[in-house]
Amino acid sequence: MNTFERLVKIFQITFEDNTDITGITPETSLREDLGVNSIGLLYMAMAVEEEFGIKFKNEDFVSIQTVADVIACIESKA
Amino acid sequence: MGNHREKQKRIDLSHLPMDIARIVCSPLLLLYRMKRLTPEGKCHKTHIKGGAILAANHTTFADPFLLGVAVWYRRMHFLAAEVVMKGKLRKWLLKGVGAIEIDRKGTDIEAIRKSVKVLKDGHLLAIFPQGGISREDQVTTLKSGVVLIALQAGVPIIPMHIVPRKRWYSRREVVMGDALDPRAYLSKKIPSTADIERVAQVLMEEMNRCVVHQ
Repeated sequence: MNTFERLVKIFQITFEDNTDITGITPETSLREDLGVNSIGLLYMAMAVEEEFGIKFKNEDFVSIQTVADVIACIESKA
Repeated sequence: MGNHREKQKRIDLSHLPMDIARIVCSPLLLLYRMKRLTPEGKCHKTHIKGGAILAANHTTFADPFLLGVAVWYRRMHFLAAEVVMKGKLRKWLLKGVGAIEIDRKGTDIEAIRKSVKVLKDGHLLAIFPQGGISREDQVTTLKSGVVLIALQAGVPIIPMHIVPRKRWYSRREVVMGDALDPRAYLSKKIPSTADIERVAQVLMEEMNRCVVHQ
């Protein structure tokens, strides 16, 4: 399973009832397309930290807009 | 080696400024003559044990200290907005007495991590989940981050209401509701963001129950 697939699995769990995650691509915007709010973003980040064994910094969230940004952030820390 | 580490843990000086502040501020106990009540209006005698979040309404800047007086028998940290922590001296003083700075506008994962740590260490953490000062008695909006922190730390949330003073010499009153375990409201092991928001609604109702029956 690659990073994108693992990330989609996390999205399925964390945004289960709130967001339609079918047809998600790396270009999908977290806030605009998925409607993720700041708490959703925090919760997703915590799940990502646990899954990938990384630690996010506050500054990382400035550049995170799309799914591809999350992947890039994970890969830069792995 | 193990004993040495345990001893080091016992002689942890990181809370020294907070403990000094608690001693210095102890006359407030006499000044406020704080009354702890249950939502039914009876005297709240149970002492809080272990890590827990105190979720209260926020009417003045003095609220963290009022809560500190209400739980005088315990060390208490509190979340403070970035605007409150302006200025080097103020920041140093507030951090010393247990403030954890949080950026309310951004995604402050580091503040969440610090909060979870103090709770896992078995301390109390005061949070004002309305996200700012509000003069209204009833809680109408609530930021669900409080539930996220409680779930991450595995601690209960104690809904509270700081009763506004009627006269300057009136005794201060704090209504303390029953501890709310967020995990008890979840249908699955790993909750979704919708589950977190649902628990936040329950917490809001519990906080308002403390207002109605005062």
